[in-house]
Amino acid sequence: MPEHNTIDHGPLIHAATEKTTPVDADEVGLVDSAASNVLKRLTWGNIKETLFGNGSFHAYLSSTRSNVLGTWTSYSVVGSGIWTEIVDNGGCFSNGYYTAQKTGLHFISGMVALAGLTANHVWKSFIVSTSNHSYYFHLSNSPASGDAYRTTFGFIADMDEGDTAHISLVVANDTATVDVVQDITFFSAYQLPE
Amino acid sequence: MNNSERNVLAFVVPDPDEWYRNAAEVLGEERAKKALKAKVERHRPAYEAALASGKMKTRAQRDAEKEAEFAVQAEKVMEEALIQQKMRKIAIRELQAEGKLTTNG
Repeated sequence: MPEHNTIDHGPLIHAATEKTTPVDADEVGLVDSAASNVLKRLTWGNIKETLFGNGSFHAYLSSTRSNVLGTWTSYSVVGSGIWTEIVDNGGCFSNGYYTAQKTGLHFISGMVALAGLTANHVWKSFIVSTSNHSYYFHLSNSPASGDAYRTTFGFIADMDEGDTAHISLVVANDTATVDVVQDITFFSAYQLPE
Repeated sequence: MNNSERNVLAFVVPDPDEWYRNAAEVLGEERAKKALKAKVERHRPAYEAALASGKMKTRAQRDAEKEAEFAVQAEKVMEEALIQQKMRKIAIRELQAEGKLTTNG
């Protein structure tokens, strides 16, 4: 039961007409804990912005990088014009680098596809280098000559505002005949809601 | 970026100057300055603890050490692959000698 001189808003809200698809200008009530719990209004646009407006992107490698791997040399999959963005909210992706728009946890995922491996290419490292940490994924086995490899990755990274993430690769033990394959090599990230 | 900020940043990121250059390019100069201060403040306790322990290494040093460790692991994998290749050749020769394996042509 509501206390004396208070209004129970529950039945009022429950009796109101339902709106199933909110638009950005719609508003909900909010008790502002940072301002003596006074009532304030919050727009749907700002709810979305807070939860999902911190930058997100999905991009794929638009041209195969030929003969860039195979001899222990590290290759960073970065450079002007080699990625095509399908989505880039907030301008957070450029030339293979994702830049965090806010400090927090970021989900980073993608797939790397290699082609042209020889039987001697027994060591393959996939590295996602962020400003705070490097995340390593290793594969060690003997491929058949001319073999192709695909590996997917996905993890949560601790990033600060302004930090970057990019993909680097190392393939070892033979000549540089290994390509990073276009279209099916892709990279994506977004910040998890706080 | 002053020396103190650079030292803390080098503890965390591979290249402090490159970090700031990109932040300024993507976020703008004003946001990049604030982001730098916040990042340095956040990571300074860990940097100072590492310094006090006498075991402080920059991110670049730690990455280089990790890569050296992986190189050792990779060497082992490659040695094992070579041994397996040789064992396969020996097994084939033995099977051929026993008449259990014939070659075409």
